[in-house]
Amino acid sequence: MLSTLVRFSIHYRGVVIAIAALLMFYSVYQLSRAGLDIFPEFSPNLIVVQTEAPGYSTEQVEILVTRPIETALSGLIGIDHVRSESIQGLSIVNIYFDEDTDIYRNRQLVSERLAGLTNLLPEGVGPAVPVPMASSSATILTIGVTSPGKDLMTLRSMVDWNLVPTILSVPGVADVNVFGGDVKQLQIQINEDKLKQYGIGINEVADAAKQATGIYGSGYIENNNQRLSLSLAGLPEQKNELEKVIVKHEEGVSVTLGDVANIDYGAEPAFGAGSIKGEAGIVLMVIGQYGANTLNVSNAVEKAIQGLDKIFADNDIKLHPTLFRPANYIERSVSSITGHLLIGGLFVVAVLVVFLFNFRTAFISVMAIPLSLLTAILVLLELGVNLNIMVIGGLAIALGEVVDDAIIDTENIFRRLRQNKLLENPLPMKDVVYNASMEVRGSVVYASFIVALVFVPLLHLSGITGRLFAPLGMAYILSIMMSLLVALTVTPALCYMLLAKDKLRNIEPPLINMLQPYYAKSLTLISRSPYLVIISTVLFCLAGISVLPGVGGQFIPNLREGHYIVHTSSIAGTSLKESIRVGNQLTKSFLKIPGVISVSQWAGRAERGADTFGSHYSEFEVDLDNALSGAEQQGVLDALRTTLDDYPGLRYEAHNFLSERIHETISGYTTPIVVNIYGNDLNELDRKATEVAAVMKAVKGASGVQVQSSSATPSLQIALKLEKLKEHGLSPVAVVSSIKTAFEGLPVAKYQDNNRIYDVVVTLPENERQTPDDVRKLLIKTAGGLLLPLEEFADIRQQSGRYNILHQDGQRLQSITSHVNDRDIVSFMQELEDTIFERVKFNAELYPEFTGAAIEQAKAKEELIILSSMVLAVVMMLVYIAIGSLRNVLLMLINLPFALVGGVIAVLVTGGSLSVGSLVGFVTLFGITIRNSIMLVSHYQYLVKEEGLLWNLDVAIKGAQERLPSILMTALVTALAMLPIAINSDNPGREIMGPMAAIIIGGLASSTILNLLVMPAIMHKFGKFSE
Amino acid sequence: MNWLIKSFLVLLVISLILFLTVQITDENVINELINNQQSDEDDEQSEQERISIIDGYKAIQLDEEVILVSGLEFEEIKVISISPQFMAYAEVIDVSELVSLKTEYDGLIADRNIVQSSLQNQNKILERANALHKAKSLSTRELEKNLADRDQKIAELNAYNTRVHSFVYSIKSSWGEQLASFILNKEKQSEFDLLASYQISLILLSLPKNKVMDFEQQNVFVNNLNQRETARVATYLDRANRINNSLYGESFFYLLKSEKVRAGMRLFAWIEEADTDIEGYFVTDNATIWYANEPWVYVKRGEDLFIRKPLGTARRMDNGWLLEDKLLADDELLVTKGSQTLLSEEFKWAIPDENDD
Repeated sequence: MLSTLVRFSIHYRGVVIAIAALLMFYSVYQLSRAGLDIFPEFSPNLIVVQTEAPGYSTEQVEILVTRPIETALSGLIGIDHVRSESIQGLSIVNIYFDEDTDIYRNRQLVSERLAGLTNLLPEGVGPAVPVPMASSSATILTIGVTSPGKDLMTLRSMVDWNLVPTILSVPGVADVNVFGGDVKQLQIQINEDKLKQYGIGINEVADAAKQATGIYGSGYIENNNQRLSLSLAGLPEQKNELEKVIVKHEEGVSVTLGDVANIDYGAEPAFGAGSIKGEAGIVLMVIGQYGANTLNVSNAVEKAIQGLDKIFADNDIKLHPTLFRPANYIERSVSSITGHLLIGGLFVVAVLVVFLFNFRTAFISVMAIPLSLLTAILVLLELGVNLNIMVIGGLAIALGEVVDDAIIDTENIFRRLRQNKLLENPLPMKDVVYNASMEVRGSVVYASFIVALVFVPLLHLSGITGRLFAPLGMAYILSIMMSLLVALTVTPALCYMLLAKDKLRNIEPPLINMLQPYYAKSLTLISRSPYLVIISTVLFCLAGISVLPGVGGQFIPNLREGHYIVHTSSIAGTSLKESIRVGNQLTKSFLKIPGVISVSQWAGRAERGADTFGSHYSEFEVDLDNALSGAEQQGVLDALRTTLDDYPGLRYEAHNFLSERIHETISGYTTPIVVNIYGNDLNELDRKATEVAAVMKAVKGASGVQVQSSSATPSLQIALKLEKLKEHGLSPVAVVSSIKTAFEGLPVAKYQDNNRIYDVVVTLPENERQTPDDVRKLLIKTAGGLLLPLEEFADIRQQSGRYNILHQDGQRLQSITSHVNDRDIVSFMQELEDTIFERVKFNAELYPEFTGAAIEQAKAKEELIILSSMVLAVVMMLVYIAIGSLRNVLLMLINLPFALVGGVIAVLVTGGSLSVGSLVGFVTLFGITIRNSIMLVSHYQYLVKEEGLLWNLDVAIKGAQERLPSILMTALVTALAMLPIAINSDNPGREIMGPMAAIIIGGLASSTILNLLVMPAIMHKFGKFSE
Repeated sequence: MNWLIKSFLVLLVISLILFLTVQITDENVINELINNQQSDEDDEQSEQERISIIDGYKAIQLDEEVILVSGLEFEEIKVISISPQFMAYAEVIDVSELVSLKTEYDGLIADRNIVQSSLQNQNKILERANALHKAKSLSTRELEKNLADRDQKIAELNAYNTRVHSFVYSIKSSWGEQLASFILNKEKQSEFDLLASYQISLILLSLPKNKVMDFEQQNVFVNNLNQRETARVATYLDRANRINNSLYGESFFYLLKSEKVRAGMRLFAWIEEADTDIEGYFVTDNATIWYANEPWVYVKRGEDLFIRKPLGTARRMDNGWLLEDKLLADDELLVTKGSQTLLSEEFKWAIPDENDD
């Protein structure tokens, strides 16, 4: 089949080249239309259900909201597990589906179940809604608005009614999370003094407002001739109309809302607050839809916002358009990588020209690069894979390799054509090109398959690693496969077209001419002392391998996005105002750090967001100067941390964006050891958790043991005195509704102003909703008409409440986490399990689960080992098919440790840390190394089998000499293509690929040296070739 | 050959160097890990060391630079003097009932006067009849009839006297001596007229049930807007026998010279609790934090020490507290901004630490 393909390509070379040209053109066209993203979609198959329950306590939310939702969703097909968090006023239920299920179908199923839930939730709660599906990177853009002249309420109205709808209308935007500003309400602010004066209760005011503003349908009248619908008008809507609504009418005298309340615009109780460069403002986080392209959507949003420039200018509003723009990183990365790829490409051309000493051959080989990469991109785009940094990474590491097949082919054809010219009766050119191409074809095909095959485990990695790196593997494999296809079709066609009629000078390229004698001498010398060489090599390899366990590891290197995200947390119960004050102080300090250009802060949470942050929690977007290098960005991060370390009363995290997203995506704890305790009684759970933590601390190796309980939050408990209520003929609900109206606000109607709809709410004025005394003194009207303070009917005490209640699979959960130092995790876990069961008593309703990142990693490792073993077996089989001798196959594998040593040296030189990217580098390296070995060993096989030479030192040297150009060329081309990426890898766009490239370069260097110098000696000494 | 052997020896040396480097690197990595761990523990220890107990109160020590960066603000503690007073509830009483009573009383007195004069007249008639009877000019039967008429008048007068007595008793019992005197006493007619014409308003003041008047016949300040500044003096009239409702304690009648208040209006009243002013430290609500069901403040002592002190016994005022106890020292500064941050620092251990770096 291959021979037919090669023959066809040579015969119909024009057609093949035309098809290649068309494909290139179409690929470029498609590429120009494709968007770019930061990362592949790496979020789990997750649907988040959010339910607002204003005024409900954490415990109430858990029982009345979260549990019914969990019950309603239980049993859905494809659910992996369900986690939930209930906090004051909000329920968040995360439903994780199996990774292979369709997320849209899952969403449909969840929505159907939720639709039947509406009537089961308490009044004023909900509805339970699935949060819009966001892309993994989630944030498309963070912008902000401030105004020196406008108050926060006007600003917020402008944002809610102009800016947000404009942004939401951009395709690809899932949601806009708005932090800060005052949400406008028309408030009927009850004057308690007036209530006393007129003897009116809060509930009477609320009822009067409700009665006056209720909206009902009026029906119609119909007679034998006509039907007339009844249309109602005149309900009080405006402020002055509401003031006239009657609350009480006695002896001809009316008391109106205006008599007992001040009707004015006021701010809704805030969920969050925002600050930009220390100035109060509104921060907007634009969330991208699932699958949306960051760069395209970002540009579209910016374009849409530009349309509002005039409105902003007219209203004295300052727009901060790029508090955080992830697209900046994409643009910088792509620009940086493109530049480096071009430099790498030039290196490749230079190497080919120097080695082949013929521009035509160089041109043929180089053509493989754009053809392979562009067609690979085309296939990826057609498969629906978004272009992102990982895909580009896959293409970048394939850059040096896609040319290899073409080089081997072209170099062999070139050599054979020259040799053919020397023959007395030269063969027809077509046959020479065909034969030369077929001569290396087998090894090229096997080698390419092997190189691609080693990447297969990467496609099957589970979890976030798999989701992040699979597109890289896919891009790489596709590029290699495309390069193989190019080598089988376009390369022979171009060779025939350009080389057959060329005046081929019968001289070896000067560099090869210069190298070959030295090379032959070296091989002869080495072959005389094979054991010395082998011992030295083994020592060298052992030294390299022994480094590996000591090398530090990280999931992904620090990305130099030019932006940092800082989270701070004070003790629960800290007000939004204090969080913003602290934030402004920090902002001042952050802005003093050289390189920081803007700092914005939000505290609390957004109204529709799925976050469960309290007012004590803040997030800062710290944007850096684009020109900062990686090291300078690290310097800024260190300075941020120093500032935060010094600030009193704060815990913090400072990350780059990806780490941040990964932290948010991996729900659950990332510590190696986690003990989950399930149970029903929260207090009992707390007690057991404390016991387990104490036991855990005593186990040798435990470090940083933490009970991951929700932080206690201060609350004012209002415990009703039922006897007192009975005495005064009051129902508990009457008291509770008064409290809700007073402090939470009771929405009674909608109010329309200039086409904007606002809530009409009955509540207390803001300055009377501030201290515990305000609660104690709240007036409650008894059945006998008395107005008594709330403290008459309730014990009001400050106490510690639960900030949140966590569930897993519907059960209450308490977790204890730990790190492990100076011992292996397996034995630690075993001892921990034994000790806990021995010292802590559990029962059927209260039981532990031992888990943690270590267990998860071990499972993933096991999966990877099994998969890798299978791939290795297949690789061995392919190598065996290519080489035909088990002995030679095993000898050939010696090259792997050679490569490993070089890779390890590269790791040490570039900072001594292994990331997942580094592992991908090693995988790539092994593929390339096996390919280079196959090239050499299969040539030996060819010389013995096809040319009938007797296997001896001379043949070993001859074969190595003949393979020297292609081995050196492929190695140099791959290494030099990577070199610009490997240098200064701690810079945008090169953070993940840089270490990979360094490892490939290091490994290629060592394996090529050893492959060229040691392998022939070893093959000569231990190899076996026969006809 | 020598060249090759040398090359391999060099390779061997490189291998050894690499091996040693690795070992050192390995050790460094471990050391770094240990140091990081140590550093975390040191941080926790240093956090704990910043907290101490001074004079029985929790105290936090902060560097001067940290104080500056964190934006804490403090001020000298103000000593203020106030006349302590409490608030009560008052209602303008509708005096139409009093006017009716007055009319009724006057009518009763008038009727009684008529009967009295009629009795006097009857007595004279009887006197003349006795003289005529003695002169045998009048029959015994006629005399007895005149006697009976007089007795009837006496009985009528007695009945009126009883009614007047009951009326007076009734008025006094429901309105008190002072208000009764307005009705019963001619000398008080002018005052009654002012009351009836609403130039003076009658106010019923009801004290909260746990409060008493500190001294007798004390004047109070009232207005209808809950504004102490604009409140007017109401003069004590009498202890009231009626109460507004079961909520309130003792009640009193007051007179208020004001034409602006109307019957049925509910008023706010301020009553002084002691004759002398009290002095204390004023703590604004901004400086106050609530912890364990109690208000607290942080005070700055010296350059770098912040002490949390309770306001347990402080008197609640508008926008703050008055602390009479000598809990605060004159050389201490009151933290007016950032108290919650200091509380957060004190309880930093309770904030979950999710920083993996």
